[in-house]
Amino acid sequence: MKILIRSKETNFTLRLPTGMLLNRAGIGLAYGFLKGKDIPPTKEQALIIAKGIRDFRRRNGPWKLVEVYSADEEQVEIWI
Amino acid sequence: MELTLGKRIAMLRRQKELRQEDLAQMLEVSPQAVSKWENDQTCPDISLLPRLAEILGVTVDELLSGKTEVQPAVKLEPVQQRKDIKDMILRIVVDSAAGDRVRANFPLALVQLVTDAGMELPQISGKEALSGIDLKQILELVSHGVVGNLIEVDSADGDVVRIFVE
Repeated sequence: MKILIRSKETNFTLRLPTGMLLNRAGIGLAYGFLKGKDIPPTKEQALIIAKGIRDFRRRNGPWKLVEVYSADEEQVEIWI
Repeated sequence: MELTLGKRIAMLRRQKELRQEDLAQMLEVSPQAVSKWENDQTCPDISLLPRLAEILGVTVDELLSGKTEVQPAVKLEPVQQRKDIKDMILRIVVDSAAGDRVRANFPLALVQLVTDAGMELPQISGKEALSGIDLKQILELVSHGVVGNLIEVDSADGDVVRIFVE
């Protein structure tokens, strides 16, 4: 996973290991931190989403999940 | 005047609102390679053409010959040309009146999983324009071979939302 943030002052790329974030252990860990907080999606739903993302990536390679351009020329991209 | 292959790639890439870096990443080549194709210094490897054409939304023949058929906004794919739902993307494009632009690309298989599990896609714009969109109906249309610009909404506050299936 790659997160790019670009603006007039910033040019920042954060690379995260997709496999580690989107597996059962990674999601379990994330929900462990959120213990007690009722934040959608539920852990079970997050596992379904993660599996969908993993399957698509395995089949089609990396793709751009979200791209946001703000009116003041900031840009954020999330690649999976 | 007929466009060269490189100019056609550049034109189609811009129409898809992709940067050279984006196209390079999707094809697992360097951005410099894409730049050289577009400047007609080199040509893409033949093994890349099917994927390149797919990304650019044309056939390999259309990409190479430059003879493109006018595509309707929405089209019904013949059964033998339909892509597997696992290879399709639901693109949500939001252009806000304030000048913000959001592009989200969700694998259609993921959309199906999400709707089957009773979830909804995140309302990425936070705007009313997205709230009434029925994903199950979109999936139903796609299962019958309907692709293209399925939804276009101009909201009262000036936002434009479009949903494509590719």
